[in-house]
Amino acid sequence: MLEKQPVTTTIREDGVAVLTFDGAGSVNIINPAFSEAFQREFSNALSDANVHAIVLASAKKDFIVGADVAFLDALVFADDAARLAKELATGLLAVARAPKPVVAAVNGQALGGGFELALAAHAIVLSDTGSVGLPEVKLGLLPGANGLLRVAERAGLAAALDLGLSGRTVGAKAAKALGLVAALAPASVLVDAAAKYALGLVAKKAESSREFGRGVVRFATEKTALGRALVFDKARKATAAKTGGHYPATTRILDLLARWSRDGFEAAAAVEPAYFGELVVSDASKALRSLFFATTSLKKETGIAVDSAPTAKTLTGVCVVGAGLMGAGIAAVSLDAGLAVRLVDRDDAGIGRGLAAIKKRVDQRVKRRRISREEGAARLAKLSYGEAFPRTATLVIEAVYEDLPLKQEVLRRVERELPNAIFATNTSAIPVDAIADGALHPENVVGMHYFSPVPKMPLLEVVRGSRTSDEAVATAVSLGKKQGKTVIVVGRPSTPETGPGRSEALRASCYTTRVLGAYLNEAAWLLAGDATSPPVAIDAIDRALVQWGFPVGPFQLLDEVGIDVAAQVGEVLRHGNAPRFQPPPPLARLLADGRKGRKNGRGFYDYSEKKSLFGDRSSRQKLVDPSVYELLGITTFDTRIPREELQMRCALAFVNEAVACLDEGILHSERDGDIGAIFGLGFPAFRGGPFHYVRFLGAAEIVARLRGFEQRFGPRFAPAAGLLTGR
Amino acid sequence: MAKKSKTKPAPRTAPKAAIAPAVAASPTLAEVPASPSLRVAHGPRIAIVAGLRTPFAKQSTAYAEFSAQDLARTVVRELLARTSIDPKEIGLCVYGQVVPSVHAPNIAREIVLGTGMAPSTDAYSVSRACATSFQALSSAAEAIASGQHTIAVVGGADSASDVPITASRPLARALVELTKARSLADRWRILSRLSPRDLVPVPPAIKEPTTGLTMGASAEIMAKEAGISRAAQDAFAHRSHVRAAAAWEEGLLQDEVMHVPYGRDFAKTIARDNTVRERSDLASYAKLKPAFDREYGTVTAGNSSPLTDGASALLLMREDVAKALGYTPLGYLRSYAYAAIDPRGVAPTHGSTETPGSWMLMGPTHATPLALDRAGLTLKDLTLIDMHEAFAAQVLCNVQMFSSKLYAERYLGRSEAIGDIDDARFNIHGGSLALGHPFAATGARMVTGLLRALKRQGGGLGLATACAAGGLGAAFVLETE
Repeated sequence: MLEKQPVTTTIREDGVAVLTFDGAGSVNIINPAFSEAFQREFSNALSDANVHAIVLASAKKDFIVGADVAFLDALVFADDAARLAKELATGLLAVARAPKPVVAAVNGQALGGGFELALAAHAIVLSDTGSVGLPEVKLGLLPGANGLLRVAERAGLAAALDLGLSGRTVGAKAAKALGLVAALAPASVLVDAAAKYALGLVAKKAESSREFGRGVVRFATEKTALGRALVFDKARKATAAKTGGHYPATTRILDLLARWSRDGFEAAAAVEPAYFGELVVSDASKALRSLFFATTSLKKETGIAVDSAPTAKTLTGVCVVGAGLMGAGIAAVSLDAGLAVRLVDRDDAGIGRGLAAIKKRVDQRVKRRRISREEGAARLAKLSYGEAFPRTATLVIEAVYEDLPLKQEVLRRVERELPNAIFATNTSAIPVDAIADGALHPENVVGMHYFSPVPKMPLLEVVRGSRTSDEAVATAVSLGKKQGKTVIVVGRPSTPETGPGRSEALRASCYTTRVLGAYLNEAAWLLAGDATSPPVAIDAIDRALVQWGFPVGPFQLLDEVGIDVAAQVGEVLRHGNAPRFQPPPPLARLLADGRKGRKNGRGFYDYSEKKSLFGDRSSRQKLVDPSVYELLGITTFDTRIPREELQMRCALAFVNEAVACLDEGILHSERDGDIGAIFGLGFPAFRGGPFHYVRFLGAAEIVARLRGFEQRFGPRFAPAAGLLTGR
Repeated sequence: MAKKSKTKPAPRTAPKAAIAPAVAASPTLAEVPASPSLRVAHGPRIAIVAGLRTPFAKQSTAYAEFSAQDLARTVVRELLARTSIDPKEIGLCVYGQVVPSVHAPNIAREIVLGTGMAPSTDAYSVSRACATSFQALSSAAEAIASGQHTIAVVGGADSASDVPITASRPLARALVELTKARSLADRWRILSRLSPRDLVPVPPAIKEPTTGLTMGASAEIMAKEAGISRAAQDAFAHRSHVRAAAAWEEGLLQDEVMHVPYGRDFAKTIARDNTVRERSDLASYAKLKPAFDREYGTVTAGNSSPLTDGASALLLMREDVAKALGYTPLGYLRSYAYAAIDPRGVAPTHGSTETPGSWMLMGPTHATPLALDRAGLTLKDLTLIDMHEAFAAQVLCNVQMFSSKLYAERYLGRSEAIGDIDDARFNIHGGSLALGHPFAATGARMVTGLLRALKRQGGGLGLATACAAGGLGAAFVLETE
């Protein structure tokens, strides 16, 4: 049997050659085999006198979803990567300069290299359900085949900056409005429409139909030195504020577009390969690519061993108990997944608040055109609410207040009314085993740890208790995936070898809760100070960790999470045999003072609504509440402590705890640890996660630094076993 | 080996068709007997498996922001959730509203598409004025009885808060013509025909198109001609409120009424009918002015049912299917009848075969004997009787005529009166005067309430009967086990 050709040509009666992409995999990607076949078919079509125009089309659901990223990892030297980019760019230049009209018929998504190829054609006809984008920046790269430059040529500098720096995907209507595509057509007649368009180009050479208004703006911002300076100054500042300078790709994207706007396409295209090569071998891109592969491999997993017999239960609906912030969020993402949702709460006012939150989210998405009005209505149509459980519910997610007796009461009600249902508990701190204690069917109890706000946070941590069944785990994982979450499974069944001890005490607590606990606890020690290190100011600590790459500092996070909640979680972590979670004693005074964080307007920061002369004070400019220092009895600060030490003490506490979780079997793989830390806790993505960070610095270096801290600050920094055995 | 089968003439070993019928997967639907021609069925009964309604709310109160469709979807969704019926099993949805909707003329289909029911569920809408959800019930029952369906959802909803305000005839005509106009001159010519008066919006008619009388005016005529006093009307309205308030107080209604969050951010919830006067005071009724005949009238806002928003729904199944699925039905439909009288009828005189003049709300008196005959019962066999209370005058007039041999002879063509209604068995938890009357929702409300009340009494037979605009009447005999 012949090997499947990734590109095949058919010549229509009207003299249009249709090059159809249909690679071996489930999606079309650009790899050497594709490039070779494409160049062959393309030059054949060009030299064929019967062919008047060329249409590029796909036989898959999407056009081309990008270039093969896997083989970039094999490249050690920037020059090799640069050469690769140059080859691809030269190939595409041949398309752009073709003497016959070339039209790309983009049916589904055209991403990265795929979009670059489409952009090299003289025009794009996009399916009205299609979308385009240049997501390279998300992998720490820039589009290496002149794609960004072609976006700038077609849609202007602003669009190129937006698409390049955000990596976002643009829907059909927006792509048309930006001028990225020439026409939209229904997918069913797309190739015909593209052929017609191409033949139109044969008749009259490509015409430019740029709108006047946009032309003026484009002239001012692109063709005048002052305009360019203003645009790039603003873009650089905004980017720096977002990335903290940790993402070199964004800098290079700005450099490239600056060169384009000053010196034109040729000059920019000349520097592009070098930029690309440099980024391919950068640490940030390596970390981001590792994360990308980790996420991709995770998507294929079911959460249980491959040879396990039971599989996930098929769910048509879920029942969410507790209509608070978490419950409403879980209900909302379940509705997004097309599931019927029953929201159960004993309190009418609670249900009302939950409904309001869910409806607000749907309304917002309709308003932002993420979904149609009809789709929004259809989702809300699947939501019912009330005190009663549906008789046939197969999975109940409990999201009531974090209180063991309350959660057990809900579990008892579920077991009474729905004896066969899986009971998923949304807890971050209470061990699943503690909740399942006394259950009739502990095998049906599984943890589903969502992060707040649920619709925004990408991670779901499924927690296996010691008696949880494979079926319950697999069902929870499959539900999480339907809800669009990246799902990791943590916790493990107890085996005869696991005696009681440290691991037993912490057994079912979530991985994310443990590493976050270690990290926040260390920040608290920095603030409180001890015999060997004087106190450090709250905002100095927060600033240092934001500079290290966290989205917010530890104290701002504590205020958001709730100081009371954090203390409660700390208590659970400390319980048993983990003295390293001992917080600095003065911290208890904050709780005694009734400080709960942002929710009661009293935390580490000042939430009072002071009106300045110019109206409300910007909420971004948060100031530390000085009375915190009074409470803690802090009068002088250590201002000479190096920023790096602040960062290392917190970050290494985080990393060390992650390794301990892996040692104990709470965490099943380094991959899960990296994904959990980045998607659940905002660990800097460009550092690739705690385990990637260990590989980056080297375990020996991490151990040396931990030993140093251990000597100065005590045994809580004792390196985890996994670091010593040189994993 | 082919077994003998009378109902399935097709050979069992028939090769699978290229396109297999979708219904084959569903055990309950598959049991619909294939019959070569439509015929009267004498098989399992029609079970009313469950019933639910929203609390009823006075016009423009809790449901000010709800359309009838919103209310309908709310109650049907909750009925489905509480009964946990597999949506794919529901073959039919029959639903109705009386105040017409411009946006969604087929409300039943909107319910199917907006409640998580399977899109393959058939749906149509019905209208029979105040007896609309009775019509929905009987239409679905007929579909089940004739073997077309086994499970159906029926009901009715109305929003007196969301009435369609229409354009005047001249304006409407001009707007239609404008869509076809080609030139500016044409448009000008069309618009210049309009006078300012034509721009005033038109509220929906409250008068009967045939008689030119409002319902209240019809009630007035009945009160005057049958000699029903103001005091009797007020006392009956008071009775309705006292009984409804007591039923709520004793917790008899809460399981048939869902809670509905409403308002900005759903900050409020309505859990009870806000139409019921919790502390009804008989003396206060006398203070109200007559609403329809200021000078000689006796019908007041106090002894009439209020304009109300609300929705109700019932889940119907063929008896055997309900039992196979493990449901315990509320009860069964024993018989029903509709009757129609001439709303323009001449004044009642001796020897006339006409209906009394404009005694438009006599539907219960005309429909009930038919339904009882069909059930093989008499009034005495009934444990409970529930009559829709549009107006106290209408109820009292019907009650009076139930007992009247003369009325029976003259207008019903019967030699005996229908029978005396025992007050202890009549509207025991009040009626529409107190609970309110969202036109299309009332019938299903009565059916659920009556069956639940019968069950509390240990079972038996019940009658639910209502009058409706246009001189229509409905009577349903229900039974419990």
